[in-house]
Amino acid sequence: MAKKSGKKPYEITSEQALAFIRRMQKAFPKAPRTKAGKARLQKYLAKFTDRQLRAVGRRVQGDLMLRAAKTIPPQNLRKRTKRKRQR
Amino acid sequence: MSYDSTRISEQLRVLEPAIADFIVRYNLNTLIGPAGGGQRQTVFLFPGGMGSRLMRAKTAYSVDGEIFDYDEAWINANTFLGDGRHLKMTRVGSTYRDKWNRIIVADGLINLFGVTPYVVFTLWCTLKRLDYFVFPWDWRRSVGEVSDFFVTRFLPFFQGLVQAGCNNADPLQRFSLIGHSAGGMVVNWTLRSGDAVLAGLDQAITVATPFYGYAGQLHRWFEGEDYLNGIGNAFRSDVIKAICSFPGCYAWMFLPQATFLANQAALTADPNYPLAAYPSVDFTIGVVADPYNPLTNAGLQRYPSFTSSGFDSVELASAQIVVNHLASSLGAKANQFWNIRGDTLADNTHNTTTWDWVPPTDPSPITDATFAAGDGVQPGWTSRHVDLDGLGRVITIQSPLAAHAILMDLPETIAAIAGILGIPFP
Repeated sequence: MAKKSGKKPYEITSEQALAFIRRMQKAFPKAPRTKAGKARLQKYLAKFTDRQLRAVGRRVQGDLMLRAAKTIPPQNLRKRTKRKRQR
Repeated sequence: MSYDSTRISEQLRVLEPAIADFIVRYNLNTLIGPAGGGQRQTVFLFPGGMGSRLMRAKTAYSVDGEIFDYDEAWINANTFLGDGRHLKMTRVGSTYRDKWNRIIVADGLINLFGVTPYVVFTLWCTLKRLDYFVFPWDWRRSVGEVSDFFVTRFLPFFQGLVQAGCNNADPLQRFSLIGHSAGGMVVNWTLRSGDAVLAGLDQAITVATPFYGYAGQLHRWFEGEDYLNGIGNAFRSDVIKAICSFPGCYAWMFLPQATFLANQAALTADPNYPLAAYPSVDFTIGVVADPYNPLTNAGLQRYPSFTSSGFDSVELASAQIVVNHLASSLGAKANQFWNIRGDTLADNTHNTTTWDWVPPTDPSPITDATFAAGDGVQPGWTSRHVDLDGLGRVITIQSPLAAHAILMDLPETIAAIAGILGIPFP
Protein backbone atom coordinates (compact mmCIF):
# COMPACT_ATOMS: atom_id res chain seq x y z
CA MET A 1 0.00 0.00 0.00
CA ALA A 2 1.32 3.41 -0.92
CA LYS A 3 2.19 5.71 1.94
CA LYS A 4 -0.09 8.69 2.36
CA SER A 5 1.70 11.93 1.57
CA GLY A 6 -0.30 13.84 4.15
CA LYS A 7 -0.60 16.70 1.65
CA LYS A 8 -4.07 17.91 0.84
CA PRO A 9 -4.91 17.87 -2.88
CA TYR A 10 -4.08 21.22 -4.44
CA GLU A 11 -7.45 22.71 -5.34
CA ILE A 12 -8.16 25.53 -7.77
CA THR A 13 -11.34 27.30 -8.80
CA SER A 14 -13.07 27.07 -12.17
CA GLU A 15 -11.87 30.57 -12.96
CA GLN A 16 -8.25 29.60 -12.24
CA ALA A 17 -8.58 26.48 -14.39
CA LEU A 18 -10.06 28.54 -17.23
CA ALA A 19 -7.25 31.09 -16.89
CA PHE A 20 -4.72 28.24 -17.17
CA ILE A 21 -6.41 26.95 -20.33
CA ARG A 22 -6.61 30.46 -21.80
CA ARG A 23 -2.88 31.02 -21.23
CA MET A 24 -2.18 27.74 -22.99
CA GLN A 25 -4.49 28.73 -25.85
CA LYS A 26 -2.67 32.06 -26.12
CA ALA A 27 0.68 30.31 -26.29
CA PHE A 28 -0.66 27.75 -28.78
CA PRO A 29 -3.41 29.26 -30.95
CA LYS A 30 -3.77 25.90 -32.73
CA ALA A 31 -3.04 22.31 -31.77
CA PRO A 32 0.53 21.53 -32.84
CA ARG A 33 0.84 18.97 -35.64
CA THR A 34 4.59 18.86 -36.22
CA LYS A 35 7.08 17.02 -34.03
CA ALA A 36 8.69 20.34 -33.09
CA GLY A 37 5.31 21.85 -32.22
CA LYS A 38 4.35 18.88 -30.09
CA ALA A 39 7.70 19.07 -28.29
CA ARG A 40 7.14 22.78 -27.65
CA LEU A 41 3.73 22.00 -26.10
CA GLN A 42 5.28 19.31 -23.91
CA LYS A 43 7.99 21.74 -22.83
CA TYR A 44 5.32 24.32 -22.04
CA LEU A 45 3.36 21.89 -19.87
CA ALA A 46 6.55 20.70 -18.19
CA LYS A 47 6.89 24.17 -16.66
CA PHE A 48 4.08 23.24 -14.29
CA THR A 49 4.30 20.83 -11.40
CA ASP A 50 2.32 17.60 -11.35
CA ARG A 51 0.20 19.04 -8.56
CA GLN A 52 -0.69 22.09 -10.61
CA LEU A 53 -1.56 20.05 -13.68
CA ARG A 54 -3.61 17.58 -11.68
CA ALA A 55 -5.51 20.44 -10.05
CA VAL A 56 -6.40 21.75 -13.52
CA GLY A 57 -7.33 18.26 -14.71
CA ARG A 58 -9.56 17.67 -11.69
CA ARG A 59 -11.31 21.01 -12.01
CA VAL A 60 -11.85 20.74 -15.77
CA GLN A 61 -13.25 17.22 -15.44
CA GLY A 62 -15.56 18.42 -12.70
CA ASP A 63 -16.69 21.40 -14.75
CA LEU A 64 -17.35 19.72 -18.08
CA MET A 65 -20.81 18.52 -17.10
CA LEU A 66 -21.48 21.83 -15.39
CA ARG A 67 -22.60 24.87 -17.38
CA ALA A 68 -21.55 27.55 -16.91
CA ALA A 69 -18.34 26.48 -15.27
CA LYS A 70 -17.90 29.09 -12.61
CA THR A 71 -17.67 29.37 -8.87
CA ILE A 72 -20.98 30.39 -7.34
CA PRO A 73 -20.61 33.14 -4.72
CA PRO A 74 -22.24 32.17 -1.42
CA GLN A 75 -24.60 35.17 -1.50
CA ASN A 76 -26.17 33.77 -4.68
CA LEU A 77 -27.19 30.56 -3.00
CA ARG A 78 -30.54 30.27 -1.31
CA LYS A 79 -30.62 30.04 2.44
CA ARG A 80 -30.09 26.52 3.59
CA THR A 81 -33.14 24.79 4.97
CA LYS A 82 -33.02 21.98 7.45
CA ARG A 83 -33.61 18.66 5.79
CA LYS A 84 -34.21 15.17 6.97
CA ARG A 85 -31.36 12.74 7.06
CA GLN A 86 -31.87 10.17 4.32
CA ARG A 87 -30.71 6.65 3.95
CA MET B 1 -18.41 -3.71 -44.65
CA SER B 2 -20.04 -0.32 -44.35
CA TYR B 3 -18.53 2.52 -42.35
CA ASP B 4 -20.76 1.65 -39.41
CA SER B 5 -20.04 -2.08 -39.53
CA THR B 6 -16.33 -1.31 -39.65
CA ARG B 7 -16.68 1.08 -36.72
CA ILE B 8 -18.50 -1.52 -34.63
CA SER B 9 -15.97 -4.19 -35.52
CA GLU B 10 -13.16 -1.80 -34.62
CA GLN B 11 -14.87 -0.86 -31.35
CA LEU B 12 -14.92 -4.51 -30.32
CA ARG B 13 -11.32 -5.04 -31.42
CA VAL B 14 -10.14 -2.00 -29.47
CA LEU B 15 -11.78 -3.38 -26.30
CA GLU B 16 -9.96 -6.72 -26.54
CA PRO B 17 -6.96 -5.66 -24.38
CA ALA B 18 -9.33 -4.51 -21.62
CA ILE B 19 -11.14 -7.85 -21.82
CA ALA B 20 -7.76 -9.61 -21.65
CA ASP B 21 -7.03 -7.66 -18.45
CA PHE B 22 -10.42 -8.76 -17.11
CA ILE B 23 -9.55 -12.39 -17.87
CA VAL B 24 -6.27 -12.10 -15.95
CA ARG B 25 -8.08 -10.59 -12.95
CA TYR B 26 -10.86 -13.17 -13.21
CA ASN B 27 -8.43 -16.09 -13.17
CA LEU B 28 -6.53 -14.55 -10.28
CA ASN B 29 -9.78 -14.13 -8.35
CA THR B 30 -10.61 -17.76 -9.09
CA LEU B 31 -7.36 -18.76 -7.38
CA ILE B 32 -7.75 -16.61 -4.28
CA GLY B 33 -11.54 -16.53 -3.98
CA PRO B 34 -14.14 -13.98 -5.00
CA ALA B 35 -15.35 -11.00 -3.00
CA GLY B 36 -17.37 -11.78 0.11
CA GLY B 37 -17.18 -15.50 -0.49
CA GLY B 38 -20.70 -15.51 -1.98
CA GLN B 39 -21.85 -16.23 -5.50
CA ARG B 40 -19.53 -14.57 -7.95
CA GLN B 41 -20.68 -11.60 -9.98
CA THR B 42 -19.36 -9.39 -12.75
CA VAL B 43 -19.79 -5.64 -12.45
CA PHE B 44 -19.86 -3.36 -15.47
CA LEU B 45 -19.13 0.31 -14.85
CA PHE B 46 -20.45 2.85 -17.36
CA PRO B 47 -18.48 6.10 -17.03
CA GLY B 48 -20.29 9.42 -17.11
CA GLY B 49 -20.77 11.51 -20.23
CA MET B 50 -17.38 12.74 -21.44
CA GLY B 51 -15.67 10.32 -19.01
CA SER B 52 -14.77 7.79 -21.69
CA ARG B 53 -11.67 8.37 -23.77
CA LEU B 54 -12.35 8.67 -27.49
CA MET B 55 -9.80 7.59 -30.08
CA ARG B 56 -9.70 8.68 -33.73
CA ALA B 57 -8.35 6.50 -36.55
CA LYS B 58 -5.14 7.86 -38.02
CA THR B 59 -6.47 7.32 -41.54
CA ALA B 60 -9.86 7.62 -43.21
CA TYR B 61 -12.19 4.68 -43.74
CA SER B 62 -12.13 3.62 -47.35
CA VAL B 63 -12.42 -0.10 -47.94
CA ASP B 64 -13.91 -3.20 -46.35
CA GLY B 65 -12.29 -4.95 -43.44
CA GLU B 66 -9.73 -2.32 -42.57
CA ILE B 67 -8.17 -2.08 -39.15
CA PHE B 68 -6.71 1.17 -37.90
CA ASP B 69 -4.21 2.75 -35.56
CA TYR B 70 -5.64 5.46 -33.34
CA ASP B 71 -4.79 8.84 -31.82
CA GLU B 72 -6.41 10.20 -28.69
CA ALA B 73 -9.24 12.57 -29.61
CA TRP B 74 -10.79 13.18 -26.17
CA ILE B 75 -9.35 14.55 -23.99
CA ASN B 76 -5.87 16.06 -23.85
CA ALA B 77 -4.16 19.44 -24.21
CA ASN B 78 -4.90 19.53 -27.95
CA THR B 79 -8.62 19.32 -27.23
CA PHE B 80 -8.39 22.86 -25.82
CA LEU B 81 -6.34 24.08 -28.76
CA GLY B 82 -9.07 23.64 -31.33
CA ASP B 83 -9.27 19.88 -31.61
CA GLY B 84 -12.46 19.63 -29.54
CA ARG B 85 -14.48 20.90 -32.49
CA HIS B 86 -13.22 18.03 -34.65
CA LEU B 87 -15.40 15.55 -32.74
CA LYS B 88 -18.24 16.69 -34.99
CA MET B 89 -20.38 13.96 -36.53
CA THR B 90 -22.47 13.87 -39.69
CA ARG B 91 -25.76 12.01 -39.94
CA VAL B 92 -25.95 9.77 -42.99
CA GLY B 93 -29.38 8.17 -43.14
CA SER B 94 -29.82 6.52 -39.77
CA THR B 95 -26.11 6.30 -38.98
CA TYR B 96 -23.37 8.80 -38.14
CA ARG B 97 -19.96 9.36 -39.59
CA ASP B 98 -17.04 11.00 -37.87
CA LYS B 99 -15.24 14.00 -39.27
CA TRP B 100 -12.90 13.24 -42.16
CA ASN B 101 -14.39 9.72 -42.23
CA ARG B 102 -11.89 8.81 -39.55
CA ILE B 103 -13.61 6.33 -37.25
CA ILE B 104 -13.86 7.25 -33.57
CA VAL B 105 -14.10 4.54 -30.90
CA ALA B 106 -14.20 4.61 -27.11
CA ASP B 107 -11.24 3.11 -25.30
CA GLY B 108 -10.81 3.33 -21.54
CA LEU B 109 -11.21 6.29 -19.25
CA ILE B 110 -10.02 9.81 -19.89
CA ASN B 111 -6.76 10.93 -18.34
CA LEU B 112 -6.38 14.69 -18.31
CA PHE B 113 -3.11 16.03 -16.90
CA GLY B 114 -2.70 12.87 -14.83
CA VAL B 115 -6.26 12.76 -13.47
CA THR B 116 -8.49 9.77 -14.22
CA PRO B 117 -12.00 9.38 -12.83
CA TYR B 118 -13.13 6.41 -10.72
CA VAL B 119 -9.64 5.46 -9.52
CA VAL B 120 -10.82 4.94 -5.94
CA PHE B 121 -13.83 2.89 -7.01
CA THR B 122 -11.82 0.65 -9.34
CA LEU B 123 -9.10 0.27 -6.72
CA TRP B 124 -11.74 -0.83 -4.23
CA CYS B 125 -13.08 -3.33 -6.80
CA THR B 126 -9.57 -4.73 -7.20
CA LEU B 127 -8.98 -4.97 -3.46
CA LYS B 128 -12.34 -6.71 -2.99
CA ARG B 129 -11.52 -9.13 -5.81
CA LEU B 130 -14.63 -8.06 -7.63
CA ASP B 131 -14.78 -9.02 -11.32
CA TYR B 132 -15.25 -5.54 -12.76
CA PHE B 133 -15.11 -4.19 -16.27
CA VAL B 134 -15.13 -0.51 -17.19
CA PHE B 135 -17.22 -0.21 -20.34
CA PRO B 136 -16.11 2.89 -22.25
CA TRP B 137 -18.76 4.29 -24.54
CA ASP B 138 -19.04 7.00 -27.15
CA TRP B 139 -21.01 9.60 -25.22
CA ARG B 140 -21.71 11.58 -28.40
CA ARG B 141 -24.06 8.84 -29.55
CA SER B 142 -27.59 8.22 -28.36
CA VAL B 143 -28.23 6.19 -25.23
CA GLY B 144 -30.27 3.67 -27.23
CA GLU B 145 -27.49 3.11 -29.75
CA VAL B 146 -24.87 2.65 -27.04
CA SER B 147 -27.08 0.29 -25.06
CA ASP B 148 -27.93 -1.71 -28.17
CA PHE B 149 -24.23 -2.11 -28.95
CA PHE B 150 -23.56 -3.19 -25.36
CA VAL B 151 -26.35 -5.76 -25.29
CA THR B 152 -26.29 -7.24 -28.77
CA ARG B 153 -22.63 -6.91 -29.74
CA PHE B 154 -20.37 -6.37 -26.75
CA LEU B 155 -21.86 -8.79 -24.20
CA PRO B 156 -21.81 -11.88 -26.47
CA PHE B 157 -18.28 -10.93 -27.61
CA PHE B 158 -17.14 -10.44 -24.01
CA GLN B 159 -18.80 -13.65 -22.86
CA GLY B 160 -17.13 -15.66 -25.63
CA LEU B 161 -13.64 -14.32 -24.94
CA VAL B 162 -13.94 -14.75 -21.17
CA GLN B 163 -15.26 -18.30 -21.48
CA ALA B 164 -12.36 -19.14 -23.79
CA GLY B 165 -9.84 -17.64 -21.35
CA CYS B 166 -11.38 -18.75 -18.05
CA ASN B 167 -12.01 -22.45 -18.37
CA ASN B 168 -15.51 -21.88 -19.76
CA ALA B 169 -16.65 -19.84 -16.75
CA ASP B 170 -19.62 -17.65 -17.67
CA PRO B 171 -19.06 -14.01 -16.62
CA LEU B 172 -22.73 -13.28 -17.33
CA GLN B 173 -24.15 -15.94 -15.06
CA ARG B 174 -24.65 -13.17 -12.52
CA PHE B 175 -23.77 -9.57 -13.22
CA SER B 176 -24.68 -6.01 -12.27
CA LEU B 177 -24.52 -2.66 -14.01
CA ILE B 178 -23.37 0.61 -12.46
CA GLY B 179 -23.63 3.87 -14.35
CA HIS B 180 -22.34 7.27 -13.30
CA SER B 181 -24.12 10.39 -14.57
CA ALA B 182 -25.05 9.91 -18.24
CA GLY B 183 -23.65 6.37 -17.97
CA GLY B 184 -26.65 5.66 -15.76
CA MET B 185 -28.91 6.57 -18.67
CA VAL B 186 -27.36 3.69 -20.60
CA VAL B 187 -27.92 1.45 -17.56
CA ASN B 188 -31.55 2.61 -17.35
CA TRP B 189 -32.08 1.83 -21.05
CA THR B 190 -30.34 -1.54 -20.78
CA LEU B 191 -32.38 -2.59 -17.75
CA ARG B 192 -35.50 -2.27 -19.87
CA SER B 193 -34.18 -4.55 -22.61
CA GLY B 194 -35.67 -8.00 -22.88
CA ASP B 195 -32.64 -9.53 -24.57
CA ALA B 196 -31.83 -13.07 -23.45
CA VAL B 197 -28.18 -12.18 -22.81
CA LEU B 198 -29.39 -10.13 -19.83
CA ALA B 199 -30.93 -13.15 -18.09
CA GLY B 200 -28.21 -13.02 -15.42
CA LEU B 201 -28.64 -9.30 -14.69
CA ASP B 202 -28.87 -8.90 -10.93
CA GLN B 203 -28.78 -5.21 -9.96
CA ALA B 204 -28.76 -1.99 -11.99
CA ILE B 205 -27.36 1.00 -10.13
CA THR B 206 -27.24 4.63 -11.18
CA VAL B 207 -25.10 7.23 -9.47
CA ALA B 208 -25.87 10.93 -10.02
CA THR B 209 -27.85 10.09 -13.12
CA PRO B 210 -30.49 12.49 -14.44
CA PHE B 211 -33.93 11.00 -15.08
CA TYR B 212 -35.66 14.30 -15.75
CA GLY B 213 -32.88 16.35 -17.31
CA TYR B 214 -30.71 19.15 -15.96
CA ALA B 215 -29.91 22.79 -16.64
CA GLY B 216 -26.49 22.42 -18.23
CA GLN B 217 -27.26 21.28 -21.75
CA LEU B 218 -29.48 24.21 -22.77
CA HIS B 219 -26.49 26.53 -22.38
CA ARG B 220 -24.32 24.53 -24.74
CA TRP B 221 -26.48 25.07 -27.82
CA PHE B 222 -25.73 28.79 -27.51
CA GLU B 223 -22.51 29.10 -25.56
CA GLY B 224 -20.43 26.12 -26.62
CA GLU B 225 -18.05 24.98 -23.90
CA ASP B 226 -15.90 27.61 -22.15
CA TYR B 227 -12.79 25.47 -21.96
CA LEU B 228 -12.96 24.57 -25.65
CA ASN B 229 -14.14 27.88 -27.12
CA GLY B 230 -10.63 29.31 -27.37
CA ILE B 231 -9.25 32.82 -27.08
CA GLY B 232 -11.87 35.37 -28.09
CA ASN B 233 -14.26 32.48 -28.76
CA ALA B 234 -12.23 31.65 -31.86
CA PHE B 235 -13.54 28.08 -31.93
CA ARG B 236 -16.96 28.66 -30.39
CA SER B 237 -18.99 28.52 -33.57
CA ASP B 238 -17.40 25.19 -34.54
CA VAL B 239 -17.69 23.85 -30.97
CA ILE B 240 -21.43 24.61 -31.03
CA LYS B 241 -21.72 22.87 -34.41
CA ALA B 242 -19.94 19.85 -32.98
CA ILE B 243 -22.22 19.75 -29.91
CA CYS B 244 -25.30 20.11 -32.12
CA SER B 245 -24.08 17.12 -34.14
CA PHE B 246 -24.05 14.80 -31.08
CA PRO B 247 -27.38 12.94 -30.86
CA GLY B 248 -26.66 11.97 -27.25
CA CYS B 249 -26.71 15.58 -26.00
CA TYR B 250 -30.31 16.14 -27.12
CA ALA B 251 -31.49 13.80 -24.35
CA TRP B 252 -29.77 15.76 -21.56
CA MET B 253 -32.29 18.60 -21.37
CA PHE B 254 -35.12 19.21 -18.91
CA LEU B 255 -38.00 16.75 -19.19
CA PRO B 256 -40.93 17.35 -21.55
CA GLN B 257 -43.83 19.14 -19.95
CA ALA B 258 -46.10 16.13 -20.44
CA THR B 259 -43.65 13.98 -18.46
CA PHE B 260 -43.57 16.61 -15.75
CA LEU B 261 -47.35 16.70 -15.53
CA ALA B 262 -47.57 12.91 -15.43
CA ASN B 263 -45.09 12.76 -12.54
CA GLN B 264 -45.80 16.10 -10.89
CA ALA B 265 -47.27 14.68 -7.70
CA ALA B 266 -44.23 12.49 -7.06
CA LEU B 267 -41.73 15.18 -8.08
CA THR B 268 -43.36 17.69 -5.74
CA ALA B 269 -43.69 15.23 -2.88
CA ASP B 270 -39.97 14.52 -2.43
CA PRO B 271 -39.45 15.93 1.07
CA ASN B 272 -35.92 17.24 0.57
CA TYR B 273 -35.61 17.54 -3.16
CA PRO B 274 -38.97 18.72 -4.50
CA LEU B 275 -39.57 20.06 -7.99
CA ALA B 276 -42.52 22.30 -7.41
CA ALA B 277 -43.00 23.69 -10.92
CA TYR B 278 -41.78 23.07 -14.45
CA PRO B 279 -38.07 23.99 -14.46
CA SER B 280 -37.81 25.89 -17.76
CA VAL B 281 -39.87 29.02 -18.38
CA ASP B 282 -39.99 31.92 -20.78
CA PHE B 283 -37.74 34.84 -19.82
CA THR B 284 -40.42 37.51 -20.21
CA ILE B 285 -43.79 36.07 -19.30
CA GLY B 286 -42.83 32.98 -17.32
CA VAL B 287 -44.85 30.43 -19.29
CA VAL B 288 -43.49 26.94 -19.82
CA ALA B 289 -40.61 26.71 -22.30
CA ASP B 290 -40.47 23.00 -23.08
CA PRO B 291 -37.16 22.02 -24.75
CA TYR B 292 -38.95 19.19 -26.57
CA ASN B 293 -41.82 21.33 -27.74
CA PRO B 294 -40.13 24.54 -28.85
CA LEU B 295 -42.80 26.91 -30.06
CA THR B 296 -42.28 30.00 -32.18
CA ASN B 297 -43.21 33.58 -31.49
CA ALA B 298 -43.71 35.96 -34.41
CA GLY B 299 -40.70 34.70 -36.33
CA LEU B 300 -38.61 34.08 -33.21
CA GLN B 301 -37.52 30.62 -32.10
CA ARG B 302 -36.15 28.80 -29.09
CA TYR B 303 -33.12 27.22 -30.73
CA PRO B 304 -30.36 28.51 -32.99
CA SER B 305 -31.02 27.94 -36.67
CA PHE B 306 -29.86 24.80 -38.44
CA THR B 307 -27.75 26.86 -40.82
CA SER B 308 -25.87 28.71 -38.08
CA SER B 309 -25.40 25.84 -35.63
CA GLY B 310 -26.52 22.55 -37.13
CA PHE B 311 -29.18 22.23 -34.42
CA ASP B 312 -31.26 19.35 -35.69
CA SER B 313 -35.01 19.09 -35.06
CA VAL B 314 -34.91 15.44 -36.17
CA GLU B 315 -32.49 14.68 -33.33
CA LEU B 316 -34.68 16.63 -30.94
CA ALA B 317 -37.71 14.51 -31.85
CA SER B 318 -35.68 11.30 -31.49
CA ALA B 319 -34.36 12.44 -28.11
CA GLN B 320 -37.87 13.07 -26.87
CA ILE B 321 -38.63 9.40 -27.47
CA VAL B 322 -35.47 8.52 -25.54
CA VAL B 323 -36.23 10.70 -22.51
CA ASN B 324 -39.84 9.51 -22.40
CA HIS B 325 -38.65 5.92 -22.44
CA LEU B 326 -36.11 6.54 -19.68
CA ALA B 327 -38.68 8.29 -17.48
CA SER B 328 -41.44 5.76 -18.13
CA SER B 329 -42.64 3.25 -15.59
CA LEU B 330 -40.19 0.50 -14.69
CA GLY B 331 -42.75 -2.12 -13.77
CA ALA B 332 -41.19 -5.17 -12.15
CA LYS B 333 -37.72 -3.95 -13.18
CA ALA B 334 -37.92 -1.46 -10.31
CA ASN B 335 -37.01 -4.35 -8.04
CA GLN B 336 -33.57 -4.52 -9.66
CA PHE B 337 -33.01 -0.77 -9.82
CA TRP B 338 -31.14 1.50 -7.40
CA ASN B 339 -30.52 5.22 -7.59
CA ILE B 340 -27.74 6.91 -5.65
CA ARG B 341 -27.75 10.69 -5.60
CA GLY B 342 -25.47 13.31 -4.09
CA ASP B 343 -26.20 16.35 -1.99
CA THR B 344 -23.28 18.66 -1.25
CA LEU B 345 -25.34 20.31 1.51
CA ALA B 346 -24.58 23.64 -0.16
CA ASP B 347 -27.76 24.12 -2.21
CA ASN B 348 -25.45 25.06 -5.06
CA THR B 349 -27.01 23.20 -7.97
CA HIS B 350 -28.56 25.00 -10.91
CA ASN B 351 -32.23 24.20 -10.70
CA THR B 352 -34.41 26.21 -13.07
CA THR B 353 -33.80 28.36 -16.13
CA THR B 354 -35.41 31.18 -18.02
CA TRP B 355 -35.29 31.09 -21.82
CA ASP B 356 -35.58 34.06 -24.13
CA TRP B 357 -36.51 33.91 -27.80
CA VAL B 358 -33.83 33.95 -30.50
CA PRO B 359 -32.34 35.56 -32.47
CA PRO B 360 -30.13 36.96 -31.16
CA THR B 361 -28.36 33.87 -29.85
CA ASP B 362 -25.54 35.98 -28.42
CA PRO B 363 -25.78 36.82 -25.56
CA SER B 364 -27.18 33.47 -24.56
CA PRO B 365 -30.96 33.42 -24.06
CA ILE B 366 -30.55 30.91 -21.22
CA THR B 367 -30.29 32.20 -17.65
CA ASP B 368 -29.99 30.03 -14.58
CA ALA B 369 -32.74 31.26 -12.32
CA THR B 370 -32.64 29.31 -9.06
CA PHE B 371 -30.44 26.93 -7.12
CA ALA B 372 -31.43 23.77 -5.30
CA ALA B 373 -29.95 20.94 -3.29
CA GLY B 374 -27.97 18.49 -5.37
CA ASP B 375 -24.49 17.39 -6.32
CA GLY B 376 -23.50 20.68 -7.95
CA VAL B 377 -24.56 19.47 -11.40
CA GLN B 378 -27.68 17.34 -10.96
CA PRO B 379 -30.41 18.61 -8.63
CA GLY B 380 -31.69 16.00 -6.19
CA TRP B 381 -35.10 15.81 -7.86
CA THR B 382 -33.68 14.54 -11.14
CA SER B 383 -31.27 11.91 -9.91
CA ARG B 384 -33.83 9.34 -8.85
CA HIS B 385 -36.65 7.65 -10.77
CA VAL B 386 -40.00 8.38 -9.11
CA ASP B 387 -41.01 4.71 -9.40
CA LEU B 388 -38.44 3.97 -6.68
CA ASP B 389 -40.02 6.34 -4.15
CA GLY B 390 -41.06 4.38 -1.10
CA LEU B 391 -39.19 1.24 -2.16
CA GLY B 392 -36.04 2.04 -0.17
CA ARG B 393 -34.03 1.96 -3.36
CA VAL B 394 -33.02 5.62 -3.46
CA ILE B 395 -29.87 6.33 -1.49
CA THR B 396 -28.88 9.93 -0.87
CA ILE B 397 -25.28 10.73 -0.03
CA GLN B 398 -25.29 13.92 1.99
CA SER B 399 -21.77 15.27 2.38
CA PRO B 400 -19.88 18.42 1.44
CA LEU B 401 -17.76 16.09 -0.71
CA ALA B 402 -20.72 14.57 -2.58
CA ALA B 403 -19.92 16.54 -5.73
CA HIS B 404 -21.00 15.18 -9.09
CA ALA B 405 -17.62 14.39 -10.62
CA ILE B 406 -16.21 12.59 -7.58
CA LEU B 407 -19.36 11.00 -6.17
CA MET B 408 -18.38 7.52 -7.41
CA ASP B 409 -15.10 7.71 -5.52
CA LEU B 410 -16.64 8.77 -2.21
CA PRO B 411 -16.40 6.09 0.54
CA GLU B 412 -20.10 6.61 1.38
CA THR B 413 -21.07 5.88 -2.23
CA ILE B 414 -18.82 2.84 -2.43
CA ALA B 415 -20.28 1.61 0.87
CA ALA B 416 -23.78 1.99 -0.59
CA ILE B 417 -22.78 0.07 -3.73
CA ALA B 418 -21.15 -2.62 -1.59
CA GLY B 419 -24.40 -3.00 0.35
CA ILE B 420 -26.42 -3.39 -2.85
CA LEU B 421 -23.98 -5.92 -4.28
CA GLY B 422 -23.76 -7.82 -0.98
CA ILE B 423 -20.04 -7.24 -0.56
CA PRO B 424 -18.48 -6.41 2.81
CA PHE B 425 -17.26 -2.83 3.11
CA PRO B 426 -14.59 -1.51 3.23
